Amino acid sequence: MAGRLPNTRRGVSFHIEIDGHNVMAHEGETVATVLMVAGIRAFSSHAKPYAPSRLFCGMGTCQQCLVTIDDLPNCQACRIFARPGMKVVTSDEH
Amino acid sequence: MSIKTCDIAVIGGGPAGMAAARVAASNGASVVLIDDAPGLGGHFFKESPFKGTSSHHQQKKLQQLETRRQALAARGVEVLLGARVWGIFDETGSTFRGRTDPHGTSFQLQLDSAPRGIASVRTRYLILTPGVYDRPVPFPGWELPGVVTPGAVQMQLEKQGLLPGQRILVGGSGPLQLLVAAELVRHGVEVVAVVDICGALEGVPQIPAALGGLWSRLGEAAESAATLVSHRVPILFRQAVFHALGTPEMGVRGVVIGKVDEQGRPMPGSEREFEVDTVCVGYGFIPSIAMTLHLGCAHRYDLDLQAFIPEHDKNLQTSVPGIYIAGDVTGAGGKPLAELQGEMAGISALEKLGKIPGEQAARERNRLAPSIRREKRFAEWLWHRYRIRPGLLELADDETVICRCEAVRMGQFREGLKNGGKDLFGVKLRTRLGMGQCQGRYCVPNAALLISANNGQPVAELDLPSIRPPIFPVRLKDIDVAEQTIEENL
Amino acid sequence: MNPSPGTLPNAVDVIIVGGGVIGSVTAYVLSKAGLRVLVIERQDIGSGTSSSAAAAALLQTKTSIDKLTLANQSLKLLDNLHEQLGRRFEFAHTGSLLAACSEDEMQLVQKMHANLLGMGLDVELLDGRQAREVMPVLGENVLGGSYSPKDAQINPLELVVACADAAQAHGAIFSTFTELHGIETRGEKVIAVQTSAGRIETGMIVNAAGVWAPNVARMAGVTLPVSPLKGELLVTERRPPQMQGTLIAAKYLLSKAKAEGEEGWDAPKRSVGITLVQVAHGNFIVGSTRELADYDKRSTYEGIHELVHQLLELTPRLANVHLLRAYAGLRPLTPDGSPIISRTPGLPGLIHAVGFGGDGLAMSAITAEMLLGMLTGSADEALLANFTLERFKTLEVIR
Repeated sequence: MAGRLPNTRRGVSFHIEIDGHNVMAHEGETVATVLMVAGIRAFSSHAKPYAPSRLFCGMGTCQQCLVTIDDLPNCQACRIFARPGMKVVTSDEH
Repeated sequence: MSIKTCDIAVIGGGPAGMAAARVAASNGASVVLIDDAPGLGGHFFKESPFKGTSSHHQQKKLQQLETRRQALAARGVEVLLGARVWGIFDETGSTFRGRTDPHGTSFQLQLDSAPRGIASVRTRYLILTPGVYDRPVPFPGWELPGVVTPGAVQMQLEKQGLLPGQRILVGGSGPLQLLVAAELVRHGVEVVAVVDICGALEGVPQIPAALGGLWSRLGEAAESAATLVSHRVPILFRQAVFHALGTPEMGVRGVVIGKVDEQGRPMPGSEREFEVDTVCVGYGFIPSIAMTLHLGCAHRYDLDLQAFIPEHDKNLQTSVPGIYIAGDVTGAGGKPLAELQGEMAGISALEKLGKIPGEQAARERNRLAPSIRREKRFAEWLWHRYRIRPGLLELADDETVICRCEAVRMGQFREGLKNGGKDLFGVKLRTRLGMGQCQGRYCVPNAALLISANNGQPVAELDLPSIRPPIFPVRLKDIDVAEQTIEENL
Repeated sequence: MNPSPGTLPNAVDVIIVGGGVIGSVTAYVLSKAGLRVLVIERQDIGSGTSSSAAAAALLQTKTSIDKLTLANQSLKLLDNLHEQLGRRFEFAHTGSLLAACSEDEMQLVQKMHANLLGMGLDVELLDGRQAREVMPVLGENVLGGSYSPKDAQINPLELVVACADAAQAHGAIFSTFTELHGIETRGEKVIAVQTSAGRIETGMIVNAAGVWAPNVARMAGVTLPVSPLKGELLVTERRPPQMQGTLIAAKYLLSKAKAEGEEGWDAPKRSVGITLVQVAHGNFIVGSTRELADYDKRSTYEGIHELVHQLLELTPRLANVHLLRAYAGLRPLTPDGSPIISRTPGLPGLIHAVGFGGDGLAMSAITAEMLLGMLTGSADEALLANFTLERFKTLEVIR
């Protein structure tokens, strides 16, 4: 699975909520990073015929990493930084 | 909410944009530099907020970034970060599309996030440095979580200190593959193989002579190759990723590779399967032309990149007076070329503004021209080796999605062609291709190749989609901004 | 579609110029009735105004009993068409709600409502709470509205494609990317057309070329008073289904009345009154501005901003939805706002079916029936009397 590079000094850590579970994040990490490290690669539900959202281009262009953050749908997970208390939901359709 | 006015607005804060802004501001122009990331650097200078993520090599790059940042600050360039330009309008408030005789003296850029309360920028000249993005080629399973582009792996690694997986296959084609694979291996990731559709020595005898700096360019690739070899990572040429295996919920768990011919056509019977958790695959780059299309600039079709590139003259002015371009958008030529072109575009705009006399502009252009030519020769060689081969489109079967945003399958697409679709409008009409969230960025380039093959018409002759606003998806509330007043210039 | 070069027939019964909504629905109705039909379309089917329709076929915006009767008939025909074509164009009587945000607007709505009741339309006056029950996306500032349950929403491009497919199944030929070069006549008869794909003999031409219909008419020496009225629209990303029916801003009535020159108002440069509908795929379509801008289809900042502003005033809940596309279309408008469905005086083989303004979708089915009547000698002349070309002899033509 995805993981943080070892031997790096990250900043302040805090918790965000992913699907109701508390997950650790560091200041400076994007929501995509936190999801990937938590082993969550499907960022949205798999509502046929659409495939789930996931990390693809990593640069904010493909619009395929969409996730619901703090009740705001269709946020680009690779562009948005995790903040303390953020609520991320991966069961929504995108 | 305010309107910021300036002489020159540069959109894109990578190497090209920073160079253009620096040169323009050095000669008395008021300059605004806009980028949608939280910091400058684009995709070349990737700065991580975490200590210890950057290699020695990367740290040296980041020192260069700091030097550039300071140069911009010292010259009073107004840097607006975290903002996307969603629409560019002329002085009557209309978009430019289709306009053949624009005044070209005023562009109003609408921003989506109002940095420091600035909702729009009104400028006399525009320098666009939007860069490129990784090109996908659809194949069965490419939609699975865990299939990522080389750009994504680099971005996540360098900017976020994130390793995408533990067992990875790197494939596709392009100058990044070896570099990305070697970086992963150095960080302890198991790279099961690197596959490349090119032949190992393809194009090598044609490397342009007298290139200067050639060995340092190829040196990075050679170093990467050496790293891979020493870690016993197979580097397989004339092979491609055929199939990613896994489920939508859990993502990739395996990959099938196989041989391709010189046209990129898959050769069945040569398949091999690997257990992996990530597939890193990309086929070169597509220039980001949404903005130049939006502005009604003319484009030409590049047969190596199999993509449209904005037309420009030797001064880097596009077909629309007052709009200049620089950097990777002109053909994925890399960072040294981007910076040279940035300077060139800055000088051209300054000359038009009347901030520098014609002789000085000519002198600067003559100074830059030989280096630009040299860099372009290398880029041409590179992209000929890594050219997009139409046969790759045979990797997709009828069930493979070609437009991911609207879930249009290859079979549906082909039906649409049979039922009368002759151009991009025609396939959009019959399949919804290109009508989704990415606004056609990831499906149109490949759809164009398929339409061309179906009609027997060169892609260059296809009508390009007209990019109406917004250039990027923007929330309705970010458009509904309050009355804007012009900011007083200090 | 598109027979290979040189394989167009030498002669057909009817040539339809224009492959949009009017042309394709007519092609289906005529070919089903046994006529040999050829459609000449200079680009792809639906590429004209049909691709910028606001996806609604409304009853409660009709301002006269004649228009309402016609619209009613047309919706019934669209119902039948939908069944016949295997329910392919997302046609549904999801209703419409004309919503008011101010006392002035509420008074206008009440007046409209009373008129419509008088015309026999089943409309209900709702207060704010009731309006929000019908359309939960509405904001708290909506004071009330008029609800018309029979109004319909429709997918215009699916209608075009479905009819084109069905017409071809009945033997019609669609020649796309084919330009009309000339109309051949001999005395009072139409003889043939000249196209970029060759010459085809025919005795009947239906001019269904939308805003470009005047160009076609000119080839036969006829002046058609049809002018473009630009409308900007917005399309959002897909969202989960949260809205049934079409929302109409009371401002729409003001905007439409001004543009059609009713009530003695001068047409302003631009007026905006939105309609909102959520299509089957989940996208919201927001229409539209009304603006005299010749053939200019460019989007404008003000147009986009005003549409968004009006939308969020009515439906603040949609503030976070992403806009994906802003575009524009050209409504073909006649001086009196009513279409021209008419033989050409002195050249009865050239029939025009033009000038539908923003009602082309709703009027498509009944227009096709009227054309069938005209071509088979069973026309409803009384009805057609409302739509003649001759009525413009004395009117000033809008340019």
